[in-house]
Amino acid sequence: MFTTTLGEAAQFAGRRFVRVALLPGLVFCSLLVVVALVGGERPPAADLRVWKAQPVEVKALLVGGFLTAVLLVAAVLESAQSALLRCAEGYWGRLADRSLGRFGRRCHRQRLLRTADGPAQLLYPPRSRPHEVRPTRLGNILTAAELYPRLRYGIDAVLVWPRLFPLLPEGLLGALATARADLSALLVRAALSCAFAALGAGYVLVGGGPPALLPGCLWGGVLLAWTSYRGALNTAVVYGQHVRVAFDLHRVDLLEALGEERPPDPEAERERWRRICLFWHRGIPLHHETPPAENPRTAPELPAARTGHGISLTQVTVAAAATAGLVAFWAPYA
Amino acid sequence: MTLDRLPLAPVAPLSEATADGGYVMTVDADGWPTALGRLDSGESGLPPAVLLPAPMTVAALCTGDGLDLLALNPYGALVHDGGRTLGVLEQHTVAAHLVALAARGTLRNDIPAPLDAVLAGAYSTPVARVVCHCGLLTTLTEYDPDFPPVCAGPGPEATPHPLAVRTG
Repeated sequence: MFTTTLGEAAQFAGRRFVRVALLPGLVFCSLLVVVALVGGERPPAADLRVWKAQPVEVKALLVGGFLTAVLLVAAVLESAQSALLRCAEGYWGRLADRSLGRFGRRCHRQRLLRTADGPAQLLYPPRSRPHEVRPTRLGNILTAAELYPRLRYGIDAVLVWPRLFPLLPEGLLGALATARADLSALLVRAALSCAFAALGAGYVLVGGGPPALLPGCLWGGVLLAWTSYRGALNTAVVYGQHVRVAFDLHRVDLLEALGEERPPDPEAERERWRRICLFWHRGIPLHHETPPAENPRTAPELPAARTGHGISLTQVTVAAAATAGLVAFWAPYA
Repeated sequence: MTLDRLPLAPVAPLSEATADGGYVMTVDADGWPTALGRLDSGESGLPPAVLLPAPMTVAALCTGDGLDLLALNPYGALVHDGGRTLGVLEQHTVAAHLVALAARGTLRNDIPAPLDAVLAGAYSTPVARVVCHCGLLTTLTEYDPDFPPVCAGPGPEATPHPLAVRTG
């Protein structure tokens, strides 16, 4: 019976919604409650006395309110997964893209030039396409995976992937789903940690709580966010590999599903995919006449890599958080 | 783990059954079990017996088509080895293993979600370069065959004409 209960508990805890949204939301709300109790001017014992003095109905309402807040946070996290991933990849608004985005792209272009060939293929877009470099490491890892089918087969991965996905075998689907769920879970954890760092530290600052708690919230939250983000980078590499494998092994299945014949050679396959992508994305008839070739393009000349380590957005954020924590800790004693 | 290593409940032929509430089975002329149940099954009689070979593994049972057959008998299935009946594999024993396997499967491989069918990046399809019937090369970002764009090339009577993509 214990094995059955444990198995059922594991099955429940393993569900994607629980892993990605509900559990992180529960931990986040619980930590905020703890900071609210400990980080105010009143000692926690006073709050505990107030709680004990409340009638049962009020306690039930408060607990119900807390659980509702947890479910609300979980629902928001569940629906915001796509937006969170795009934000982590560096698809930002105009203002942020022109400021932080420019800084991040410059940093990562330099890192691309310094990275050895082997790792660079997994971590960055090819050196022949510096305009594809994203401002964040996660964005570069996923862009490298998305560009792979374009480079090898002439396939627009973002356009073709929703059509290819239903044709993939169950084993690969499961691996993709798990990798994507793990990536989402780690990004959610990183986002909630940043939110906790800001909200917790802000509450302690405004509420006049213990000075040591402010850097605790700030540094603890930033440290957890940084470790979660680093975990997400590793998971993104795995996810990217699965995407590459899916195109390598099953792109011909998609052609067969479309009623297309198997292309006789790689050049014919590139031309076939070019026409299919133009038809799907822009409505251009499949059998349009091939226009005269454009002037051949060559890869841009790359500048020499600068010596020394570039500073990334992550390092800037961590440094800012560390400085803010130190200032807030020492300010009362100054 | 094979079925013969699981905890099996004892079963007796109906002709030798005692009134102790254990499992009983009926056999045909060749000695193969045909029904499995309890003495107190009442007027409905014994439900049909499901036979499982002893060398079968639990994983094969829980993930194979044979699992559906267990619905034929509410008590369980008979595990036999070379014509010899070893005992009754009860439903709750199978259920416990199903839950454990399902939990491992859930943790190792998630069920695909609609979000997985979408990559978060940007489209990389370049603008289309097409040749109109008049011979003019044009670049297009989209083409609606019911509302084609105007082609700037020399049409009949030197008037603008709708772009008609030349097919090759």
